[in-house]
Amino acid sequence: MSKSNQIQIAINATPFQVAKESTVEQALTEFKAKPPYAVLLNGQFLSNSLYSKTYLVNGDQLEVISAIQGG
Amino acid sequence: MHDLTSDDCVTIYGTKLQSRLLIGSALYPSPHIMKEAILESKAQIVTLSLSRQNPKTNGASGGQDFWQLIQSLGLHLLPNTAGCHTVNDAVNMAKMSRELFQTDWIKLELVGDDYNLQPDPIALVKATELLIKDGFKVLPYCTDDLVIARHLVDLGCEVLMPWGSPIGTGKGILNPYALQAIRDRFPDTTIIVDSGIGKPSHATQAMEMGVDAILLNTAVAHANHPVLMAQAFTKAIEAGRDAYLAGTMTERSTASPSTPTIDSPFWHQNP
Repeated sequence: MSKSNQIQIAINATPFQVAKESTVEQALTEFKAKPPYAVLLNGQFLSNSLYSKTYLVNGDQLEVISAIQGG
Repeated sequence: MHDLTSDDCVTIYGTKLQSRLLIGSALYPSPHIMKEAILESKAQIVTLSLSRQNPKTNGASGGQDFWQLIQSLGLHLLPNTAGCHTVNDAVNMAKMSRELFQTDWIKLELVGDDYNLQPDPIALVKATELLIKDGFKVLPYCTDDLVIARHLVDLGCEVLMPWGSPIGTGKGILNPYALQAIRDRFPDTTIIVDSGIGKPSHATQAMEMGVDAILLNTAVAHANHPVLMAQAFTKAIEAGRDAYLAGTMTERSTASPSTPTIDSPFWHQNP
């Protein structure tokens, strides 16, 4: 069970707890995301200019995406 | 010797490039071999993609070693939307790529069938329309269907990337007629054969047909010696391009002697 001052989100499909009223930026810091990366919030692209302005709610799903090999 | 072709460039949305080989960054035996193969190919565009970052499984670097290596090459980056099955996924992946790689080029891939990874032509056209409206320069991976190509060009695509055969098969140009039709019907569009090339001779064949460039990955990365194969493809693509510019002879159904026969010692001699 989540503590009352925390919410349950998912980052890259893995359960993750953050404090209530956390921003995406704060969640990324706690996740130890390594730049450069891009982000999806609930399946939609989220511009990096919005990380510090977007507050997470219970059940949100973040995807932290970075470069890999491709053809 | 190369006076005819010294100023011969391929144009990608206004960017002129000498190399007609685009190369992928996947499937190599090691990062070192990947780097050497890419450098030896003389490619000026390298493709790459996006994946979830996991600090726990990607090691201390969070998987950023690859990114640093790619950056060190100093090449144009062409991100793809590999693995996307829906318009929404592809559009979102394109937007992430633009932010991450600081380029509005996107190699748009939309899988329509997992058996042969055939592009979904309907979704491809829809996603292309959305992305072009959003300012992207779309390089759509498509089949060799002439009418789909027409729709993509009408939407504003300056580059088409038809397949030769399905990704990773190495079967070469399965339908030369269809590919030639695309080349001939869109003389002002940059045509890049994107998949199915397995051997340098396949690349030469496509270049002789007048396509503008070849994108390679598996054929180089899965060779026994990727660096040597990258060199082989570079020569093959240049040879095909030179042959196209030189103009190949007209094929005939009957034999025609190359050695003059008039006044030969046996002229008019009965068999």
